[in-house]
Amino acid sequence: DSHIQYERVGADVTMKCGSMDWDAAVTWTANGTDIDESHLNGSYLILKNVDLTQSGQYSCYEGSSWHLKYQTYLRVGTPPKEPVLMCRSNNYPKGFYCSWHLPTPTYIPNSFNISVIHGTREMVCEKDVFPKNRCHIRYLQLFSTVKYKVTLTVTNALGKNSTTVTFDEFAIVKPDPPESVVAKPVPNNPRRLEVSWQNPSSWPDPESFPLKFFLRYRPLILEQWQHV
Amino acid sequence: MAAADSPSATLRRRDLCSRGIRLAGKMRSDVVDLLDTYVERQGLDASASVAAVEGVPVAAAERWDEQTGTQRLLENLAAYRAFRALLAQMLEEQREQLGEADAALGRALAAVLLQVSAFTYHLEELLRLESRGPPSEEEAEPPPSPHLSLFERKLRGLGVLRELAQWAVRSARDLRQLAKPSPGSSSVPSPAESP
Repeated sequence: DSHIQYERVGADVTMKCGSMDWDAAVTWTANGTDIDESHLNGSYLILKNVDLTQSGQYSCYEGSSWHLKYQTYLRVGTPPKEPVLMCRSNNYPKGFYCSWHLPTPTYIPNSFNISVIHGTREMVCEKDVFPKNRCHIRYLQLFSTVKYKVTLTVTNALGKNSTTVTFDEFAIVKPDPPESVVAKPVPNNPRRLEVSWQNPSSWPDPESFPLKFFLRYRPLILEQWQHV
Repeated sequence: MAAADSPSATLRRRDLCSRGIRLAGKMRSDVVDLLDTYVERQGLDASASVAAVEGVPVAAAERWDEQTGTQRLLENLAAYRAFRALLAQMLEEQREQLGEADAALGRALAAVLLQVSAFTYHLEELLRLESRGPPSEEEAEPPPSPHLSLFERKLRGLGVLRELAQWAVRSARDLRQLAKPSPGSSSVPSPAESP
């Protein structure tokens, strides 16, 4: 029978050949290739200071009959480092989203759990299907002075870690860039340009929550920007 | 709702709304500056957490986008009337406490109080246009002031100014909702809906 075994990079791993006695004659293979006897202690397989390249399928066969006695999938990885979490509202006042990532890979599967607390209220963060490391929250209150506290916990077979961010409702508002930005020459006026643009489509209510735009431009031959 | 529908009423509403929006913007900016001054002069920590204080109108609103125009005006009016009394009280306390030593803080408070009064007037006028009229104000008594220590009063003042800063943002948005053209929208209640 086969299962998965997770071990830390640098750990020493001892694998037993199922229920076989220590002094039984066995052969171990790694991804189908025989393993040299020097790595054996009796029927136990000893891997010292494992690294990522040693991940793979390990099988143990009884000496004479070649019956498969034990099989495991070794996954070498690391416990998670502190995750990086950020929250942003690009569709104020509808809601906001939080997204996260790990600063370094763990090489093994991780699960994420996020909690969003507003004062005494725990809010639901709906996970996106894609990308997987993002979730959305709907604002239940607007214009609140109470801060939001978001905690992300990442867990894998080798450990866990978490991070917390705290912010005011307004502090995370950041609209998406303007859309359909077009610069057209003006007929009969080579020194002028007509620039047009649209509100970002993600911004739900530009009438009640108008956006301000700033424009800068420069001819290619000059280094300095000019501002409108 | 004949009064609310007439062209002159619509124009007047839009005029009051745009002035109100500008006033709310200025108020917000001045309150934010006042907050800095207040925190400094009162020796407070700017990041201090202040629990909701009784009598201070909370700007937070649930289902804000579903509110009718009249609801918005009534809630704003109740809030700013309360702020008017609270700021007057703060001004008085500040004069007693610091006397002439801090004329700058007193002047800043007085300036904001003036704007709050002006905004209250705008709201009352807008409510008159809604042919509902503003509710009468209870006897202008200062809000009940429980026995607070000097430090507690300072924290309370911080809470008042913070909520006022939020209210100013909310009010600008409320007025923008109100200024939107009304056919079919919920911003002006139909006769069947009004109480």
